[in-house]
Amino acid sequence: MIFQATIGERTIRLNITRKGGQPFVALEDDTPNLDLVQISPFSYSLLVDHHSHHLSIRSSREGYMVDLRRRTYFVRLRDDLDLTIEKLGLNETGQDHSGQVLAPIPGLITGVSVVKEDEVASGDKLLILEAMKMENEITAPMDGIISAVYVSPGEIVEKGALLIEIHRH
Amino acid sequence: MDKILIANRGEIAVRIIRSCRELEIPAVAIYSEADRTAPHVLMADEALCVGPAPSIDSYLNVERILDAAQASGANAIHPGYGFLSENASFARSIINAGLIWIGPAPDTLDLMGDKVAARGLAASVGAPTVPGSTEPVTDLTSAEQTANEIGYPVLIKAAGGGGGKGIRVVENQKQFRSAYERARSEAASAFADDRVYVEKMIVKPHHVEVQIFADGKGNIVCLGERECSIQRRYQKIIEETPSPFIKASIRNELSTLAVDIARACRYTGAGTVEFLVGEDQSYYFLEMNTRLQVEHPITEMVTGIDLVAEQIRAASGQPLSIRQQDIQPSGHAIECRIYAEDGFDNFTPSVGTILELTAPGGPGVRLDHGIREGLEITPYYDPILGKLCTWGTTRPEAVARMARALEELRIIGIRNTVPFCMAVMHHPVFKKGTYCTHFISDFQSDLEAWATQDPDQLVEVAALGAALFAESSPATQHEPEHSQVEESLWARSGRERQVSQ
Repeated sequence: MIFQATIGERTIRLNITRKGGQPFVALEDDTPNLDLVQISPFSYSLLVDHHSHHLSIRSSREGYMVDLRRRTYFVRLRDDLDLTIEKLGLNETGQDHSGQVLAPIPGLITGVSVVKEDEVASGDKLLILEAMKMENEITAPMDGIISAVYVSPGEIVEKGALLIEIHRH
Repeated sequence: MDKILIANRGEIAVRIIRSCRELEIPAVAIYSEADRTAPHVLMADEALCVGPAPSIDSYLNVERILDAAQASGANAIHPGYGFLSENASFARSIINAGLIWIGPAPDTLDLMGDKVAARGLAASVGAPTVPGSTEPVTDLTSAEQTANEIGYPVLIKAAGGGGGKGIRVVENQKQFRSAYERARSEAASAFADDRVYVEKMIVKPHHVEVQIFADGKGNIVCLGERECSIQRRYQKIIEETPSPFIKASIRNELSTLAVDIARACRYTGAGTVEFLVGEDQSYYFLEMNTRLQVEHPITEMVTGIDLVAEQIRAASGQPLSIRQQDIQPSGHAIECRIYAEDGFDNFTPSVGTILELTAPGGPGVRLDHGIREGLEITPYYDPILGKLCTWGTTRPEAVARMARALEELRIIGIRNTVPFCMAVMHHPVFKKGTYCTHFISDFQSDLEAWATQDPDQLVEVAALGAALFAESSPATQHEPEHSQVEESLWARSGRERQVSQ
């Protein structure tokens, strides 16, 4: 199975084959000696040419999160099929939802400073979200007109909840 | 003392249970509905629910806590830090119910809890204080006038609180009004008291605090100082003892003042006197924390004294077993606070489930925590998960040991301050010990650069791990169990990429 892994700026090509259940990987031009053993529901021991690594790997809709040493790496994997689809240009999304103001953390709405139809400039205060005993000021991400306010003071919101929508002029 | 109820949660409740065990005193935990399976409940001898998740309904619910004490037959209450630990009326209700309050007398809490009265008392024993308003201010005009008189930059601070809540820096007059309103509103919600005061900001300050212990019978000892200058949002994150900054003569002066202040306010138990020390080693009394401090373990590591056990002994009427000349601090100790916060994203709180926890060990390492695998971290409480402390015969040894112990500590599932603390341990200014409270804001980009450097080899290992995982378990690829958390991490990763481009 051929994969193209993207981590930040880097793209790495890997080819995984199996012989009798044992994986063999061609990593770019290298074929390291590998041993991957699962040690808990989320964690693995990986020996790469005798170098010992303790990883935690979790999947998500968009790829994989790999915790290794002090970092969490976000790995996007594309296999042959994904790459073919991409080449054909069938994977265009290009969404822009910058007018949606989402709750960055779960918490309690303690104040809302705008109402529908208000004109706001980027950086203007929209509301106060209190979490872990700290008050966080949520500001407008762009200039525009408030098209909807979905929350009111006293309301507890989940992370990612839609709070306010701004319509560009 | 027959049985102790711990009116707290998390790592500090666990810490207190440990001393109770060693003294062979049964420990009673209280918990909110959200904390039913938290480690402090699992560890305690008895555990009673005191209400729903929000602290105001549970850990701050005096009536329910007193009921729990009665139901369990506990005859003493340890308040820990935060929550009701500095609340004089809580202490009075406990004493009135015929129970033992493990802490200073309610009158002392009242006196030292009022920042203005506390500064007056400190001044009366000769401790300098920072120029600022002498009375709490409640109207914008007089607050602004004070700020203009002492000159910008100024700080606005809650009159009734501590722990960094309700503090705002104001660089100029234009920012004053908005900062004043925020500080008042935060003070009101955190301490039910919206009074604030305005004071001069000291340039390149150090936060140095002195640990004292009093038995209430006139014996007061000083257990050395702690440098607490690595702070974010005016809250401490890394502390060490001894301070790498203050001169021996200043150390002696601060110790003498701390003991004098404790004597003047008729103190009993463990207390901390906080000072601000300027670049030129000029110092000012800030406040007295009339409780056990979060960072007390580093003092315990260099002195060998169990402060919680001493608190329990003092509350049961025993005189101090140690004399000042017996206290000979040895070596150097550092604490890193492990918060459920992303140190590289403005210390944004992170919530979610702890999927994996591996504790460090080995020589000179102490980990106090209140988490376990499978525990959900909720937004209801302070985001502290635990504290990692290391001891060394010298400061460089303690720093190297901390860097090593942080590498061993694995907390998977929520973002936390472990990577941030590692970056601090490797920073040349921290290694030299010449930092002030501006360290984080001055060196944020260095710290971030250190933490995000990607050795090519590790990037390849991560890619390998992900590909092998995907190849061996294709069915799980598109069934995210923790999609909410991960989406935001992806969004953040996306932002990082944009920034780096």
